[in-house]
Amino acid sequence: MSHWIIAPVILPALLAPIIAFVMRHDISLARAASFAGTIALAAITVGLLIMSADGSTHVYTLGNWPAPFGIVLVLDRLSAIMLLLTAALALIVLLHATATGWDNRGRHFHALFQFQIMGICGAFLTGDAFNLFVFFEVLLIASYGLMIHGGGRVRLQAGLQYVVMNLAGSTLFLFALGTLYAATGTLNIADLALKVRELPVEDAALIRVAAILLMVVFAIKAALFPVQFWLPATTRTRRRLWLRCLPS
Amino acid sequence: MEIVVASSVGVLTAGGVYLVLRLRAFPVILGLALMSYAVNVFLFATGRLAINAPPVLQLYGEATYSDPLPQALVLTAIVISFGMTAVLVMVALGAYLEADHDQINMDSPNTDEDMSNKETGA
Amino acid sequence: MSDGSTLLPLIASLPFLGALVPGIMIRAGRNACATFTAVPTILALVLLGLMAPAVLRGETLQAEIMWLPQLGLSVSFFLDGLGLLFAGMILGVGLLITLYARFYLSGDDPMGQFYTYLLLFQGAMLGIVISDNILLLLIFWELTSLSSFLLIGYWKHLPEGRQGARMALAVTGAGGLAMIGGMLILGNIVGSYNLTDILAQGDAIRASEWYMPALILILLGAFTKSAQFPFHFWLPHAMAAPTPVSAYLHSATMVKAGVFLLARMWPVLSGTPEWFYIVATVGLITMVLGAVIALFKDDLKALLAFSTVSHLGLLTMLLGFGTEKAAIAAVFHIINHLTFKAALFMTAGIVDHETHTRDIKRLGGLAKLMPITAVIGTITALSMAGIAPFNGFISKEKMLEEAVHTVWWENPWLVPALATLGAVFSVAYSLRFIFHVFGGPIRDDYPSKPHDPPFGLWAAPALLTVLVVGIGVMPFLAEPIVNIAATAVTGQETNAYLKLWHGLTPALYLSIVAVVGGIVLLLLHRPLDRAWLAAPRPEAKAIFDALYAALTRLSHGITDGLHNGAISRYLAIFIVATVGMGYFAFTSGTLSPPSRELLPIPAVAAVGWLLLIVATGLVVINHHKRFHALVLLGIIGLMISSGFVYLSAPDLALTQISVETVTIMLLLLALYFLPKETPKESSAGLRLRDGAIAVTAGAGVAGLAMAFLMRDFNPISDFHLANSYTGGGGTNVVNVILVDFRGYDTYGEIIVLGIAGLTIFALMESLLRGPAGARLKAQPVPPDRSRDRHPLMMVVATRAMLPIAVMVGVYIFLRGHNQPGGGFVAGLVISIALLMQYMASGFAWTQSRQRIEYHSMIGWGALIAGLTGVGAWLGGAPFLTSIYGYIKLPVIEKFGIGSAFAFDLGVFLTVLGAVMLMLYSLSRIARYAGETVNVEPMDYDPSLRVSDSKQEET
Repeated sequence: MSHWIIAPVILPALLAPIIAFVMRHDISLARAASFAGTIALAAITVGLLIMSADGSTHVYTLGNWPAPFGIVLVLDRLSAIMLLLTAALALIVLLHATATGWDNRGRHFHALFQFQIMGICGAFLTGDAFNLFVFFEVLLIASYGLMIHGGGRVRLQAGLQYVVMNLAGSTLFLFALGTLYAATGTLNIADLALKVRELPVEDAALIRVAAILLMVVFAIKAALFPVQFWLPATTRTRRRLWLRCLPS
Repeated sequence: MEIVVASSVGVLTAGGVYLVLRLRAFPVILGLALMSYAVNVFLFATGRLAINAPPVLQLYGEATYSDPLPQALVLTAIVISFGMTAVLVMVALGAYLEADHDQINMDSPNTDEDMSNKETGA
Repeated sequence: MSDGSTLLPLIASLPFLGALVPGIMIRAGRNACATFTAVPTILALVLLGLMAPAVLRGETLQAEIMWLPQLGLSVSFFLDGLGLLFAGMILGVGLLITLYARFYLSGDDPMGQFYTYLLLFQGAMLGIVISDNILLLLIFWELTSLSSFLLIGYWKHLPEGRQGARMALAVTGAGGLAMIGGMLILGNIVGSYNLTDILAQGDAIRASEWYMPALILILLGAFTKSAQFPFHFWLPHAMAAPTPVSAYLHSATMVKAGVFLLARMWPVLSGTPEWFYIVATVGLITMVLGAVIALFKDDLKALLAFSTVSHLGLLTMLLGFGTEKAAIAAVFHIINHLTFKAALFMTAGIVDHETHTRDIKRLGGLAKLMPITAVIGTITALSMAGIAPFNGFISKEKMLEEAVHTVWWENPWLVPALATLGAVFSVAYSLRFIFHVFGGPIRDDYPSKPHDPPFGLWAAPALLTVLVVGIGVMPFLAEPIVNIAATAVTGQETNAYLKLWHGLTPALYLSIVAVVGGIVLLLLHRPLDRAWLAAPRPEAKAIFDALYAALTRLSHGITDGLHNGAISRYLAIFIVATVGMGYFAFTSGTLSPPSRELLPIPAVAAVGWLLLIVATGLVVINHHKRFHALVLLGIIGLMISSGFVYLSAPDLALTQISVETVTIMLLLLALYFLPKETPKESSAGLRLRDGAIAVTAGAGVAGLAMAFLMRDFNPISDFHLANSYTGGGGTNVVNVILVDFRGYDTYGEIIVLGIAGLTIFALMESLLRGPAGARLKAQPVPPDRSRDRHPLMMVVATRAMLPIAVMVGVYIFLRGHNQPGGGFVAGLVISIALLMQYMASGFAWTQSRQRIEYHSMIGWGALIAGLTGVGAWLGGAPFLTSIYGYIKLPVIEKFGIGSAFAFDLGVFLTVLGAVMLMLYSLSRIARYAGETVNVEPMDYDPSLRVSDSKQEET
């Protein structure tokens, strides 16, 4: 099992703290590090795509604990494509932010940016439901930081609404996860699929509730009706639209 | 005991939801805090209740243990919620200081002109 | 089925890849740009030619790349006769247009952009005709709408261009939307989204109850794209595009896409009376209407545009007839129409280019001034009129032949009569094109002196004219391709018999009638024109604009009503929707009977529960007094914490208490700046509504919790309990799960904390630098400020507690792996201790004594945690694999230590750094707000009194 699978998460995760505390006073240094990291990430994701192009699924067991007892990462063609898309978009956004000087309007842009990439890659790669929640939170909180980057009245007000809406969504996510665990006893996504199938039909109510709640959670993130209201206000603040698109 | 736990979750959720629907930022923060308490207890309860059986292994002798996995999950959730709450409080404070009011509903939907001013300003 | 698996995808992707080039190559000059644009087209043509022999023999080539098999979306292509015909047309005419445009576009026009859009369009159009998967076809369909939008609006400075582009996009886009629905229905009936599968299931589809909806929706897509009645109005407005665009899109390719769709779906959808009546009737109406309008248009391109509409109607009608002969006629006419219409558009463009006007009333006599153009124009216009011996004659004959044999609702005269009427008008306007533009005396008031254009401009239409004549005189040359295409359309072998003279058939008589009638109409043109202008006519653009404006107002109304920034409403809707759906989901399933015994409730627990409920109630009722609410929140947290203790979760209790403390401190600091009271501004009705929502949500959650609390399950945590000591090296299973089994989660969690700290810091910085900072500085110092803000007792107590607290923290950290404790709690304990220093001695005094920068703590913490995980790679194990060993310290006994210890250290540092950074940021705001900077640790130092009195003594 190749360690390259987890590289898209670890690379930005190690780069971002360095940018945050060593390079926090020098924007050029931060830019250079951020670019280097993102380009390396793009190269890694291309490699991952090639690795998964034959349709095989690679599983990476973290901590060397067998699934479903530990957390696993799953690399298949879909996640590889999404990773590549993430890296490509990240590069474009980074270019734009640097070229327009946007990253210098506030502090810690590049650290937050790298953390957000880490969150997105982690969310795409994970095979564990709670781990999905954790990485969703990573990318969300980084997006809060990026969204209010630069400050200003309108941005902060819209940011406040965005944070409140997403916190409500995260709380619901936890309710859904709890119900899922209460019904099946496992958190591994593949194992969940198995357990749900094995569950006797008389016990289906809890699973259904969990499924519906999860659907609502992802609907909020993707701004589907009837929970799409937060989207227009936040995109009006000229924040990078892709921050919204990618989580969805 | 299950009734106690379930009703506590219910009451906390109800209180949290009510506060979240208020029109000012501070009650909304309080409401979200209550809801996070509720969801923490809920998540903890998914491991089913056990009295006097902490999941600390006794190396000698027989003992039953409560489910450690939800406890770990709740621990993670508590800390993450704390981080989120801190950011929320700060953003609310910032919004108040910038806008001079702490209403949670925005002023007006068509603030594109404000945006372009803000771009060139601060 | 042979294998085109490499060539087909290559052909499909060539134009797209080529589109990347012109934007750059324009820097090398216009010739280079045009050449590089032509290259992918030529390459694709060559590849097509390589596959053509196989297709002409009757094979169908296929290629397939699986993409999302679960959704039925695969990148599949196939090439049969119909696809070959259209692909050849698209690429061939594309090449000619590339040449034409090189000379047509003026020096100011951005040619690189033009060719990019052109290639994009070409790729999309090609994709439609060789696509084997209807979802893929839909993607390309929408792409053609999009790229044609870009092409029509190419001259951005012209308002007609922009409006025309918008109108085209709106109409074709709406049709595309309908088509998506229709295609999905088809895919559902058949069970596969592959075209070859769908085409084999014609009977099943026609028999299905979903046939009509699918038919209507797909027809909507086809009719909007091919500008059929009543969607014909967008095409003339698209004439604001440059002529190469009109020649390519609006005569040869894009508008033919609808016809292509009808032809492609023919084996599946036709053969029913619905198909006949809808398609044939719409086609017939369009044919006649288009021809009539065309006669009275003064703009050359508008005349040609309406003529196109009319011919497309003809094609639609032929396909609607549903017979094999009609299909052959349709395929043949597609070829013919392409040749003469594209040439005519190019001619119109040449005339426009030379004389600087397109108004027929201002033209005339150009035959002597532009002989080559006149010859080309005359020949192609005669073909358009259907005059022998040109190819238009043959296909018009075939059309009339079919019309004669068609019975419309028991009436055998209606269709031939109307068809002849259409033919009459088409002769009329074609002759008008010839005589009113090229015929007559030379005028003296042309806007610009016309002469024959350079070779580059007339080469392309000349080539097409050669085809017009060639196919007209020797129609058997076209037989192979017509045959193979018609076979694809009908699904059965066809025998096309194309020749110039069929004998004295009724069709021939009708043709003669048409010619005579047309000449008569032309001679009567002037009075007819006056009558036409005087008559009231519905102005399509005005209707469209009015409709558009009404729709926009409607959507503004809805969105402004709903999206008014009122997040309270959004949240209410969200919660109601969630609870409703959850309830629905719950009742739609069943639950097994409860299997667990309920635990007893001791008196202490009951009291605690009561306190919790009462405190929550009080918070809700009294939340207006914010300070009180915070205190009550603390009580609630305390009750929950003791609940955790009782219910066997010591780690949780510790964490809950410490996080609670820090949160309340945070909120208190924030409350310092916020208003201390919430005004009571919600109406009673609003409060009632919110209360109802809250109660239902609470009841729902409580019910859910009760449901699973009473039932057993099989958790995976038995593994964790079994392996915690042997595999993880610790007896505190929760901690082992956190730093070992699920250490990756914890890693994400500390990063969340770190990000929170950084965000708060960044936000603080930007706040203080902006107008808020100025406002804070200008705030007056509150008059009721306490004189003793740093009391002596507090300072001494907290100062003495600091080392004790640090020791407790370190102890909790070290024992965490085996007893309740761990990195989090330790970090929080120490941060609380440090915070108390801030509170006791003030911000400035404490800050000046800070030795370690908080950013570096966060950074180091995250790095240590990450590097611990990476260290496992060195042992060949996955990230965060732990190792465990024992070390023997001299005085103390065997001490167990593992890599999880280092991970926990990282956690500890990050937590500490993040919390401190957050509180530091908040306190800085306080300092900005006019807090006096204190140098002394306490306001009143009693030891000074001693030294003062000593001084007095001395």
